[in-house]
Amino acid sequence: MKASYYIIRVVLLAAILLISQMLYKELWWESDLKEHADILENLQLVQDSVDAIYFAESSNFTTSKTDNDLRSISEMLDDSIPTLKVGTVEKGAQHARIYHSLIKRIPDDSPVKMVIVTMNLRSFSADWIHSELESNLMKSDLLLQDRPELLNRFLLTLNFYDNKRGAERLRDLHRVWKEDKINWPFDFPYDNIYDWDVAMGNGGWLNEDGSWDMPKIQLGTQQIKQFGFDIKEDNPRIQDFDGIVKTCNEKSLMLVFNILAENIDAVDSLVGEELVFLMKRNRDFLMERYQGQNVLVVDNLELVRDASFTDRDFPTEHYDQRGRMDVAMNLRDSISEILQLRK
Amino acid sequence: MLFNSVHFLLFFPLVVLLYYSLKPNLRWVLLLLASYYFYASWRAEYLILILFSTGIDYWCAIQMEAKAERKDRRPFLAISLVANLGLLAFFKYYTFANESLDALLGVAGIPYKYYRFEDLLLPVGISFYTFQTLSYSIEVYRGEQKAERNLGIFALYVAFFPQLVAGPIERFASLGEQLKQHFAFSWSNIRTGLQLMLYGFFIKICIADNLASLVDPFFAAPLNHTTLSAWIASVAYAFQIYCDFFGYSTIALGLARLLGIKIMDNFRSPYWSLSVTEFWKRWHISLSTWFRDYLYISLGGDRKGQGAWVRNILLVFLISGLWHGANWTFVVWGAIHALLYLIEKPFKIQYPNPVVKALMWFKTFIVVIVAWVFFRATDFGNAADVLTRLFSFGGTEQLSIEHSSVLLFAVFVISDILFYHRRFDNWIDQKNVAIRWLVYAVMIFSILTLGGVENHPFIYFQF
Repeated sequence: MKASYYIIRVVLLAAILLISQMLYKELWWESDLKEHADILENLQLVQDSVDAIYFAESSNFTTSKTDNDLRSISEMLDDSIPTLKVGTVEKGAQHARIYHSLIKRIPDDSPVKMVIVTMNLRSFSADWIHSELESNLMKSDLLLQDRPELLNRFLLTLNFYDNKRGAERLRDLHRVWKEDKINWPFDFPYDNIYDWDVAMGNGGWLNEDGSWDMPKIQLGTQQIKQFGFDIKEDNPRIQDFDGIVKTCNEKSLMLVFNILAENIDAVDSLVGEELVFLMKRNRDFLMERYQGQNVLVVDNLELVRDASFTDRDFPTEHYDQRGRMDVAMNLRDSISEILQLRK
Repeated sequence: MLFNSVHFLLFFPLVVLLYYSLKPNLRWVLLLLASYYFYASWRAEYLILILFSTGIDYWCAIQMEAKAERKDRRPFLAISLVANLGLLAFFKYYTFANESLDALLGVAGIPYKYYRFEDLLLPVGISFYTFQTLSYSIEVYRGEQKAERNLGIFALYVAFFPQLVAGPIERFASLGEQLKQHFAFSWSNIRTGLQLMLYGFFIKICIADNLASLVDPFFAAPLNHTTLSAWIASVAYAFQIYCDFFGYSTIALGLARLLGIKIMDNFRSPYWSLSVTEFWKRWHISLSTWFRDYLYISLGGDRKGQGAWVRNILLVFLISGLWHGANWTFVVWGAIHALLYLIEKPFKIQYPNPVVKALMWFKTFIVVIVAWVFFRATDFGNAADVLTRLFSFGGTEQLSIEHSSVLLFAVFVISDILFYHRRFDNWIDQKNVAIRWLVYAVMIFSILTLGGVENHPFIYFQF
């Protein structure tokens, strides 16, 4: 057959793809984004009108029933620094991988000069990394990638993301809990989450009559699962935060990592000083790593007291108005100092 | 490796390109390596099972061929049957059999203990390749097939990647012989192959995967839904499983054709059948002919009186049900089809009247849909809930149906009627270039933009 026979067909195919891209972007892209990655819309709403963007999960907007002041941490921060207009990009259960994809999409001509990213210790844990929520997050992340919209949609159909099923994730989680060793500088009987959790779960907390204190057992074992690990270089979250640093440097964005407050009081009383030691050591690791890379790392880890944590049955970073204000003011002080220095 | 994955979309063009670049006498080596890679990318350690089946059947066939008398061949057939069915029994039915026994003995108050394998995963495609290799052993035993001396060709027949994990279940006389041939590159094969793959992807990605989003929420909580939703979901499931499996088979057909190889059609518009008997001539044809040729006929078929015929039909359908899955719900699914088959068969009904035809079609369609409930249900409780909602009013939740899904479904139903007597590639080849490319464009656009987004592996992979 003549070469023109094939050339015509290749051109036709290219035309189909081009028209498909145009039609899809015009007709369906927005609704797909709303369904699978609505956080991008969040970014698009603020990226042209603010000086700084605060990227956060539910720690930012969760309130207590007793609160009079229902402002989020980012709103408190915005109100406290008149010279810095702070916008918010927030959604529950997000983590640094999603923030990184979003930061990459901030347009170069945007007025945004600063990016504040929450750094949640729990997001480094195996429990979060191998969580069932991860499939949906990775689905969002796929759509957030800077590729032709049509290609992103097709890759979504092909499940081109980490889409392991629940049972597989659970198997991975149990494997990590057993195999990931904790490096103790002192004698401690358990060197992995699995053994520690089993030991504490089997009678670690007793009522006065000798029966098991189930609420304490449940919360205590959850604390071990959420915080009982060493953050290592190959932790996927470290790669995400490293990526954020790199992207912000390329885009000349000032970067702030906001280490969230955890309920140290409850951890200390329920599990003990060993787990507090691990949390502090992980905090120190993160501060040392990122301060050395020209990032402002704000430490809130021990800032909020037990009474300000709203959830009593699971370790979260949900604070009442006092807790949110404490974090916002700590952030304000650190950011103001830097802004002053830069003037 | 799933057909609907990026991994596969990179893998198959590379294999086709290398295939035609190699000398014809070396192509089987490439296909064998590609097939093993294809299988190992799912779980490498289970490759050993294919190698085991291949080795046993290769050896048994040669031994059988060397014996003149059937009775002398029988021990080697037994070895092949025990080895292949033993593997299948262990991986697929071990837990099911022990749980059933446990429940049965529990009723009598007899304690029963068995070892539980925590990580025992069903090897993908084991039901298909064991049946394929068994067909070879049985035919060599019957003297209808010569034993293959080239171990590589035989290994490729067992593991040929386009149809390895979900069929069609091919006979050696057809596939094996083609694997020995040297096909010259042909644009006609490439065109037909791509047409079939395009249609296969369209019905898998755009129809089956979108219908799944109606089916899954309903079967998760049947009683919460309205009766209308129950019927919509049940019809949706019938078409989901059809499009899922038909889509896979059509992609397999296209893929093989790209390599110059023709494999059998597995479906012929089964939902337009006027009887269950006809349904089974149009649904999963390679499996129903397998059961006919190697089980039904071996049992005596209809040659030993009516009682034996009834027993044989029941056995074939019950075993077919169990072949699909290790659960009693599959057995019930097989039993429903068996009963209908037995009831229908004695009546040689002619359908001259369109009204009678419509009624017969409706009856068959409803029976098939109701039987699918047992196929899809997780257990009898779930099946009972679905049937309750199908045949009694209640529930408040409505399924949310997208317009694009309805449109795609309508397109498929029309195409399925159009292709009642012919395949997609035959139909489209008769159209002029403008219509052909319009159809291609609509399919490509739909695949790229309207495919389901949840993780839906091919349903038949689990069998």
